[in-house]
Amino acid sequence: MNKYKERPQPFPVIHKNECKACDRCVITCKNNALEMSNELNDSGYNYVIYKGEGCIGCGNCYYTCPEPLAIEVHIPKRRKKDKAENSDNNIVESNINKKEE
Amino acid sequence: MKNHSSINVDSHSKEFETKITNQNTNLDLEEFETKIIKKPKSINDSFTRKGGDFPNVTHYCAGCGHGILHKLIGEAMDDLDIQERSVMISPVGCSVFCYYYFNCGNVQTAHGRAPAVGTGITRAENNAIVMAYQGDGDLASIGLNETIQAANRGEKIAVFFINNTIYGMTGGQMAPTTLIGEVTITSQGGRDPDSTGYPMHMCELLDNLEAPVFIERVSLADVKQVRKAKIAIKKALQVQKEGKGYTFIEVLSPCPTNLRQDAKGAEEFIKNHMEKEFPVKRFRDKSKETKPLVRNESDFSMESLDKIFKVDRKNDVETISKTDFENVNVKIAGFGGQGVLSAGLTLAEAACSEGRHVSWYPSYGPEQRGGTSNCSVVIAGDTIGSPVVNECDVLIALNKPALEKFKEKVKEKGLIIYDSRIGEYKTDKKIKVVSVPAVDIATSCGNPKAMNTAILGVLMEIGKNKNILSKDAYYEGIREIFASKPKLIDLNIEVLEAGAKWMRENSK
Amino acid sequence: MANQMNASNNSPTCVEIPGSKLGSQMTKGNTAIIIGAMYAGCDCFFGYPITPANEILHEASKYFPMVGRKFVQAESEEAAINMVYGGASAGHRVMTASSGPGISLKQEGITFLAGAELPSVIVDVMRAGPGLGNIGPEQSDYSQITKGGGHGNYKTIVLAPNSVQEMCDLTMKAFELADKYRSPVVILADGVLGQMAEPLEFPKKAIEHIPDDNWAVRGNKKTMENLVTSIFLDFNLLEEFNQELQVKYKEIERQEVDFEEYYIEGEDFEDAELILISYGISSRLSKTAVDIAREKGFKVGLLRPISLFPFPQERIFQLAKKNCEFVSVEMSNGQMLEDIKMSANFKDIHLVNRMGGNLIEVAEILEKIYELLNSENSKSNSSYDKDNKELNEPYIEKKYKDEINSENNLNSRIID
Repeated sequence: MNKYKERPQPFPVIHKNECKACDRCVITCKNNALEMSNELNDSGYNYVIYKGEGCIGCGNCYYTCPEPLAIEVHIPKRRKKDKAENSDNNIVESNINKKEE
Repeated sequence: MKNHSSINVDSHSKEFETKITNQNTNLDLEEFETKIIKKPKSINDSFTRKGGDFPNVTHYCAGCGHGILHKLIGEAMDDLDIQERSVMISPVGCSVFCYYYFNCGNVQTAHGRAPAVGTGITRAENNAIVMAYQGDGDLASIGLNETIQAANRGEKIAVFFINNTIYGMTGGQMAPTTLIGEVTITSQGGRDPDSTGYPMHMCELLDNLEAPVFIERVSLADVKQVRKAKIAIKKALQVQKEGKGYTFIEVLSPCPTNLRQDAKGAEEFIKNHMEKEFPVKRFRDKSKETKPLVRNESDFSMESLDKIFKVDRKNDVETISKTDFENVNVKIAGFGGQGVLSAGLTLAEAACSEGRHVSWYPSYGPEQRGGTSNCSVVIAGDTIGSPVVNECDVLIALNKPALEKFKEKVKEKGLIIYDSRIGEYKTDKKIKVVSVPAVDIATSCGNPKAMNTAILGVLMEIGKNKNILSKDAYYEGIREIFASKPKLIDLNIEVLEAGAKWMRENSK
Repeated sequence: MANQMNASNNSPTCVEIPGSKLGSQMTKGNTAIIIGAMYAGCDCFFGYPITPANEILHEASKYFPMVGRKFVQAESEEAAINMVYGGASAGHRVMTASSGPGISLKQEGITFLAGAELPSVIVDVMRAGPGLGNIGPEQSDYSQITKGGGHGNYKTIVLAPNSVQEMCDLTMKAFELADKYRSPVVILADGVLGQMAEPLEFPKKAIEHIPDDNWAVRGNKKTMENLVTSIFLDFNLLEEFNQELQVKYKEIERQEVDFEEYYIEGEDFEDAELILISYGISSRLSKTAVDIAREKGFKVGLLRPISLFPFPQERIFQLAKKNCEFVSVEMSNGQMLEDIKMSANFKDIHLVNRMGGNLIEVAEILEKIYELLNSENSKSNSSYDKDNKELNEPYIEKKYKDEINSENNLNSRIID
């Protein structure tokens, strides 16, 4: 297990204004890492928040979420040595800034 | 978390399930890249077609299955790299606005008609990958015929059938798939089979047909089922990518709003009730043994058209107007099958080949299938008014009812030619009456069926001094009529001449 | 495995048929429709059987596949028109054909075609109604075709041929207009025109139509962004779209009015005082009536609308100002009469009509002409005389009704 100690954690990115509080992700989360906030988003719904730990990057929340743009799951992976960043097909992802917890 | 650049990778990769459980320690982040599970590129980044204050939120209710399915289809489109080839058909129902979400060609259609529209698209554009996204009312009720028929033709369409046992958009009415006892706005005491029948099993129904390539029922009850659904959807779109034919995916989906359920309740309803009534399974997968269906390419060239219509532009005949030409009106009548219509057409073709104005008009409908039939031929020097002949110059009667019916309509100085088997007919009017042993004449040439041609021969002989139609014209008429059966041309010309010869020998 | 049987090579399959024909051929009206369509570059035909439009379907099934074009016998009229919607969405030239009962079913699709602004051609070979009626000729689809027919503020361009040649030529023109205005175009014919044969001069050109990638959805990269729809959720946007449609129809009314005049105004004859207005097969009977009446010295002429929408309103208005009288000669209950009346500033319009599958008789038209133009003379020499030489001309159709009815008593119970 030592090997994994060196890794950053996966985590969900929740765009709170896209959430409609249907609860599906909360129910499906294996580690019970999600919960419904008491606050309302701009559309007037409660919204899901990440408890801050427990995400295992399984993607279940994404797959059960009915809103295509509401949840992303970010999973850090150890970079393969020969794979450089210069591939044209790869898109630099800056969404990370939007993380709303 | 520290801000760092990450790489968006194929979200379908199984690797994302790798368990990462440990605490955050001092890490060299450069060693890591980030995989992001997020909406596929075949789903729009923002739903600008929807507009409004929240363009990044679907128009669906909280907990609705449509959004989940949209993502799954979008992912499969990404995985198979078919986004550019894809055409999504939006139906009528909650998913009427599918085109807000799918980043590909979009066509919105009338209620239930998606399979017909899909047929039109796939026939016109062989390379297009056509998807029809339909709800239970749309597909299994108003569009049931289109659904079954498109499936039976094996159209190259991927149908996604969202079964949530209810009409969503119109406010929760009973659907064809509503379960027995299920309460809806229009089945307030629960669906009663005595008055409303039973839930419609679409997969089972379509599985009776020969043509469909792939049929599977999936469920969106929980994440396990969702992931299974993804596999089925990808499989169906693989069939489309290869152009193999019809695929049908039924998706059991929650409608928490109309069924008044929360997420837990919806999951339980699908698992414990819907899946009992509609078993989740793969009904058919003929994708391996089915070969791609390739349609011919359209040919728009003048040469090919002229060829199939047998147009000879070098030997064109112009229609000439001759106002001094006295119109000739011919009525030909007899049993269907006696060659009434073809005799008229031969005469008309003859006139056409001489550049006359001419029209031919048949009695149509059931008469031509067995009863008496007749046709009118007008040969004129100028543009023809009515093509229907009542008062005629020439009556050709091939049976007795025909003679009885039309004899009074022959004008003074007119002509009646009839088959001698009818028996003797006399008239006080100034009408030339010729009784022709047409069958004998035709039989003497070896084909009793050509009796109509024998009578035309008689007509040719009688009219030869009146400069109406030349012998060449009659020959040409026969050549045109029998163009597709060249063997019969010489025979009929022989019968024609025999008819003329009989007339010469029997006229005073 | 059924699919395998359909699999064939990907090359054009032009098949040569033995025997050669002339440039002008005796051709049925219904066949002429298909000839016109194919030379116009029509790529797909979707149809459903109905008498008396059947031959259009038959010929399409025969000739379309010969040159690799697409033919589908649809499961219903609705399916056929929606297949047209699909093919038209892809920007191809596509068509369907039917008769009254089938056209009624197609109206849903036609309003969607108009709403989504899809070019398409629909042929209506009219038969007698209402309901199942019979398969005899009638012109009673006039209103449902020229006024839109389905829900919403739309119209279709309507062309009315009156000969086999025009069945072909106007079909070609219909495809041009459909593309020009992105609108469905209807060819309004009738049972007689569909069934009769006349010499047809073949089209002088064959068009290879290229779909317009600016709006078509073809399943390729270029057209990915395109959307075919008739939905406008926003009331104001939909109103705007409706207004745009009306601008389009006004433009059509300015540009595409087409009609033919016969003995109305000219140097060799006196201007007509009485004008028959008649389209389709009725116009041919009217023309004969005009010939006969003119010979007798009656100042009568014929105005034949070729386009029914747009209707030749302005010309009728001009003639009405000259105090011309009008007779609507139609095989329907005065459906066109209403349009004439409106064009003629609500002047009273006379009517000669037959219904139920009966052709109008020339004698009936003449009777009306004599009655209106020469009420005094009509008693002495102008009333319809059965022995009158002119009236024995071939064009006179006295007892078509008897002919049809007595021929076969199944006739009135046709279900097709």
